[in-house]
Amino acid sequence: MTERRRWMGSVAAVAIAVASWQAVATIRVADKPLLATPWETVAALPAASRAIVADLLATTVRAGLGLAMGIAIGVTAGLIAAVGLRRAPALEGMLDFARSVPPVVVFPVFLLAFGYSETARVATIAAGCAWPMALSVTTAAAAKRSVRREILALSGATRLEALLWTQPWEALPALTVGLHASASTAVVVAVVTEMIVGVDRGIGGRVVSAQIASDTTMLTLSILAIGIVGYAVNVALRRLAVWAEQFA
Amino acid sequence: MTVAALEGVTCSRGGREVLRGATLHIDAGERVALVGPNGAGKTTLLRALLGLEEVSQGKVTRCARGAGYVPQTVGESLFPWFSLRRNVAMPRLLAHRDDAADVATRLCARLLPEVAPDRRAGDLSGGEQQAAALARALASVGDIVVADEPFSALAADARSRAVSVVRDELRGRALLLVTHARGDATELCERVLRVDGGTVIEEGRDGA
Repeated sequence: MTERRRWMGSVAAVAIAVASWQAVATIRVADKPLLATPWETVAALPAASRAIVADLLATTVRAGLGLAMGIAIGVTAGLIAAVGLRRAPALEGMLDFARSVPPVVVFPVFLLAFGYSETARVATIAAGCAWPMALSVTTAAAAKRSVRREILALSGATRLEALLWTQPWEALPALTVGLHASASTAVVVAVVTEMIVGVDRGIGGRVVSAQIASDTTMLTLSILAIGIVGYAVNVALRRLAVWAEQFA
Repeated sequence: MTVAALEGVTCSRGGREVLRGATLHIDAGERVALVGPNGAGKTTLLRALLGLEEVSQGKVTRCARGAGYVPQTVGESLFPWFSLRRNVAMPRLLAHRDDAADVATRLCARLLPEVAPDRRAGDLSGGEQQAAALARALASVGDIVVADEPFSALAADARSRAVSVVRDELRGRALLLVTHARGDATELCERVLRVDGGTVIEEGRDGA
């Protein structure tokens, strides 16, 4: 396929998406629109951009803090599980079970523990991020004996030397998968916790406020903004995964 | 003095006997080639000598620590995140030898003259990776070098260069070579053994 045809195909795909958006925006439920039209959204952008950026920033900081905490907890839990896995194979199933619990259902537990506070939100995000990370650490640590390890053993390397020559790099692909899952979870959980209990700043809170006020323009802008953040996180982590694949 | 030996070794994989009472002795400084058809058990025999295969019967006198080893899957044996020089120096770095960098530089220059030693090992071509693995095995500090088809991915000129470097750089160490090329076997080794059906058959001792 030529470059020109591919370019035209992309333009057509965007045009169809905008037309679909326009079609949804014309739907009325109880005489109220569900979304703003593309034109109304673009027209409202200059006035709303400052508030939206501030909210996005607050959500990103919240998600980032939770993610950092989740990674720290997940790596620690994963290493402990990796060490104990031979003696207690049930540990892997337990980690898998913990990962299967939707993070937002533990939000009430953290609300009871920390009250209606920022700590409860960040703790919920951390809890959601920790388990995928822990599982990826155990996967990375349990990687089967590689030819490199055999060469190191024949060369008389100690266990620590063998670990240092291989593990930080060989573990990268699995860790990247865990990081990808954790980062996506962090964004989703941050927005949902903001929606459940109102916040001063945060894109989830803005979505709920816009819905209560029937402000479809702000609602549409907020949804788009969250989408852009999620997309940016995915693109960045996909690139990281491609880079890490060279060590697989 | 024997540096590695198998006595009546049997080894199974997936319910199939790969080695059937295989016996082999390698003396210090001796150069031995193993030839034979695909699936005859050459690689398993070599790995058993290195202590990398579990044997169900027989006695194994493993190669002592520090043996040089060129596996068939050379790409998976290199450390792609390190430079070519660091890869080659690895056995001597682990043995805490002061000459690690010098030996690695010399072997890189002899076996890979067109490749900068600082180049990342992950960026090497298949043939270059094989030459790098061979260089690393020659940089080892043990009394035997074990090589599983170490010339198979090399172009003709690189192959003849590698054969000549192996002859020079063994420096009194024993060599166990698995090869499909009889020319390499007879050029480098004084004993050529045929492996077939998991057993070892003495073929020739030319005293080369």
